[in-house]
Amino acid sequence: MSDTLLEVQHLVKHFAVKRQLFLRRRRETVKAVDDVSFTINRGETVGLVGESGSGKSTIGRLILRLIEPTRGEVAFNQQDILQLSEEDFRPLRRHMQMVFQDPFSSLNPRRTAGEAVEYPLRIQGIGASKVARQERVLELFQLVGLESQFVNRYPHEFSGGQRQRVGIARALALEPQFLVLDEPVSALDVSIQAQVLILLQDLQQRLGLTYLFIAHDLNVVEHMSDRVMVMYLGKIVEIATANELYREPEHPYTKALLSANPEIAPEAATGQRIVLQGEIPSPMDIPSGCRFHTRCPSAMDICSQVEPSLLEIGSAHQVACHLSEQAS
Amino acid sequence: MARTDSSTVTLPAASTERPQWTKKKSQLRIAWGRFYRDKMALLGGIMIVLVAFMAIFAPYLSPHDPYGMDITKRLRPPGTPGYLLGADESGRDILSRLMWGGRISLVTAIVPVIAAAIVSMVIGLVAGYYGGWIDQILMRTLDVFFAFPRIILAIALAAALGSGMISVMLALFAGLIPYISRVAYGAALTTKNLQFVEAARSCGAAGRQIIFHEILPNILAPVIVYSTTLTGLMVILAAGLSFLGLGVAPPQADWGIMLDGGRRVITIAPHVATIPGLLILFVSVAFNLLGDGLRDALDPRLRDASE
Amino acid sequence: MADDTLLQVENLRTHFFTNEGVIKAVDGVNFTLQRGQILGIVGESGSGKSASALSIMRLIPDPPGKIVSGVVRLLGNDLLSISDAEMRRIRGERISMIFQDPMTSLDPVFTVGQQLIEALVYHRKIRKKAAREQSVEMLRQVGIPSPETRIKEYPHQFSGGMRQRVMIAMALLCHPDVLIADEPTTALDVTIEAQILDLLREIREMLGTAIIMITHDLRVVVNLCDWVVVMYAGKVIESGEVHTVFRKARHPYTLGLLNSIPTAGKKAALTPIPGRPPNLAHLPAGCSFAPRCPSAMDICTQREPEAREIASGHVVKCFLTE
Repeated sequence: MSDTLLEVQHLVKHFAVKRQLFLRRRRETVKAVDDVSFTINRGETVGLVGESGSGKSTIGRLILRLIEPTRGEVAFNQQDILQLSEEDFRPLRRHMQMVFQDPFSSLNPRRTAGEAVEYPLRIQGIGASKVARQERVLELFQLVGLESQFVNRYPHEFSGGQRQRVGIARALALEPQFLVLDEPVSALDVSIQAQVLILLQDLQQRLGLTYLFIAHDLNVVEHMSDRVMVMYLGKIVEIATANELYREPEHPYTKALLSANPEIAPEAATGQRIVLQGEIPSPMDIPSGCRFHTRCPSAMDICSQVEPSLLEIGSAHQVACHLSEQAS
Repeated sequence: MARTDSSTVTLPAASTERPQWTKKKSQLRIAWGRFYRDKMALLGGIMIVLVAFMAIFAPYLSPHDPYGMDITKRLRPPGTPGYLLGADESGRDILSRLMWGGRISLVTAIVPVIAAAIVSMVIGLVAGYYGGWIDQILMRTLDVFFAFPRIILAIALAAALGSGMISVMLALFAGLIPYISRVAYGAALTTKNLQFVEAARSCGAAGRQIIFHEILPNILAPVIVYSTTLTGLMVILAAGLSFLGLGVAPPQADWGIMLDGGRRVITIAPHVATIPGLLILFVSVAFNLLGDGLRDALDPRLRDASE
Repeated sequence: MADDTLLQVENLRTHFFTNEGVIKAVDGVNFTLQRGQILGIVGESGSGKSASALSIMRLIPDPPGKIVSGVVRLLGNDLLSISDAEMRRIRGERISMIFQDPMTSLDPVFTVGQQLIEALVYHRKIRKKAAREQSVEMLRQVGIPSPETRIKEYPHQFSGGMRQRVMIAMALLCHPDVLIADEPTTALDVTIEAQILDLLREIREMLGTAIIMITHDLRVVVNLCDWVVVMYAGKVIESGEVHTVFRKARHPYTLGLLNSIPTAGKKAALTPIPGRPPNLAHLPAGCSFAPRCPSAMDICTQREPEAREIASGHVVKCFLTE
């Protein structure tokens, strides 16, 4: 069995937006994800980091076919899942699940926690009887550290951290191989974040899970991930192992992101602070050439004309930047 | 796929007691607890229950025959022995007529609301969830009805359908649908975009399953609240249609007809019109209070003070 | 008290009276702000950091909230004992506040210019033309390009970062002595946050405004603040110079927070603080942190510790320091 669990090739998602400016109707395209390719290996955690408009949340949803892509290929276990009809794909959904960001809206307020976790089992027809399913739910509760009594509680009776645990239990109900974690701790208090992160690491070890960890906080992403991808305006600008990204970031955007997160202990300062000028461009109005050139402190002429492609510059380290191209 | 068995779990101690799944606090009980604490809402609810009780048990409770005319008692004021609220222009006991009339007035107000709420929820769910051209067709058609002032629409429909209780109910029913549909539609749209609906889709739930299990339970609350408040308006509207002669025909009487009868003698015996008028007012206000109370009680309150 | 002391908060207590009980949101808070200083108030949700700021500004909704006791001295005058009308003059003129979500702080139906001018005219009683010029200049100072044109735009036409700059401009129009910033960058992207933090630093340099920065993000505090106050369950549990507190933290909560933040480059395992923040309506007896404290002793559940100064400026509220 191959090591590659997920292979994404040239994934594109354009949203058509009808904007009405007074009497002029304009058709604009939001290029949320614009030709993205990467692989994820079994058992690893790949982090995906970016700011607003980067497309990182969209990628998670594209892979799970919660949004239909405009073009591209997504191969899960060597099978292209985008070609399948919804009927054929439905049973495969078991293998890939998502943990959502907002602990408030990711649970149906009219359902108890137990019902929420039982729901996927019911939909997929797993478990010989209701009792069997309920047993499984109790197992899952124990797995994520929730007391059994909580099956009868409604979401508003839980804290944010507990709700996220319910969400995780639900995601694990179908025994998936792959989990997309879409900002799973961003909405939680700092002290609770650590609890949930540790739980996620623990679960990965025990259940042999593969994670795509999406977040905007570079520190959290690097802590959790083996490899990290940095996205900007719909494209991947750098991929590297977590260590390497931290020690030898190549892309100016990555460097800026890193410098915005100073160490708590000042002895480990990473060098001078880079504060980017200007706003993040709108995904409807993407700059020509390299998308980052409007804010890049090291922009050259070529950067506004030609879009750089991802080049391999080291072992498992890829960068899309003319500077790196010229250096190598 | 590797799975360790539970005996190697080192997580915080989970209780070994098997929880009884059926023991969950039903949503209703939680809501009742909240409702109970709201005094105004409770007042509204009690009032409606009382009036409904009197209407339902009118045959046993009413002191006189509502149609029984006694010219000698004509226009007697309230407090006349045997005629607690007085007598009307034909000598009939007002209290009895209120009780019996309540059967018609309340049914005429409540039934259309319930029927319209059900139909509106279907419309709102379908238009809201599927969007696209279904959405456009349904909602734009309803928009046409919004252009008519509600009362005019009701009068026109009732007149076209001929008078009688059924016509009035149909007219009110038709007039309510655009309004309640809007509310259901809005709630469906909001709910559709919440993450738990995405979660349902990620497990492979199909459209219909999602609509019934995820979206419907979440639009019930706003629809119920809005409908209850509208019922208050319907009580007035139904009485109004009756008053104009579009409702039940005499000798049958409801509150609206009593108003009409009292209108002619309002200068010499104001109580004949005023008393039914006041009752209509109170019942309508009661429904409003009830609606407000329901709104506070049914709100899931995602952030409780206990957090 | 040094002459440089701008704001002095003593024993501030703000309680919320609700159906579920009395929520002691702020329970005996003490800190001082010096002229030109940037003070960070750090804590999680429910710690009382925002409630403290709102208390200083007397913006606590009453009912259900009420400032039960305490003193808030701005240059010697107790803000809690002046009239509403006097407080209204002080708000915006001597102390200003900016909030997390600029969209709800700015009125969406008026242009940015109208709102800025209105504030200036109210406080400074100058003519509209002069107000307009000062507003444009302020927008320029906070880094909004082409302010003469942008001043005619509506809030929704600005991006998140720009809106926050407009908020800051509005807050600084009258050159207040103190600017309170309540989680101003929490909803912003990281690179935009860096810009705003830079701007706040510049403001301190240019205008000499002292800033109170309320945040849950320790990294923001390290980035920006001179002094820090750590809050838990409505109380200040540790305070002092930023580097002292973070390098030599003494309170178990502060230490726990520092240890639960993943820091890039350090693959050390996180050690989270167990349990959950307490219910402010039913606080445990003794030290509020005791139920979650790995070093809790018997005395911790019986009495509340006193705040003690263990080194110059470094104050800790914990029995472990005794």
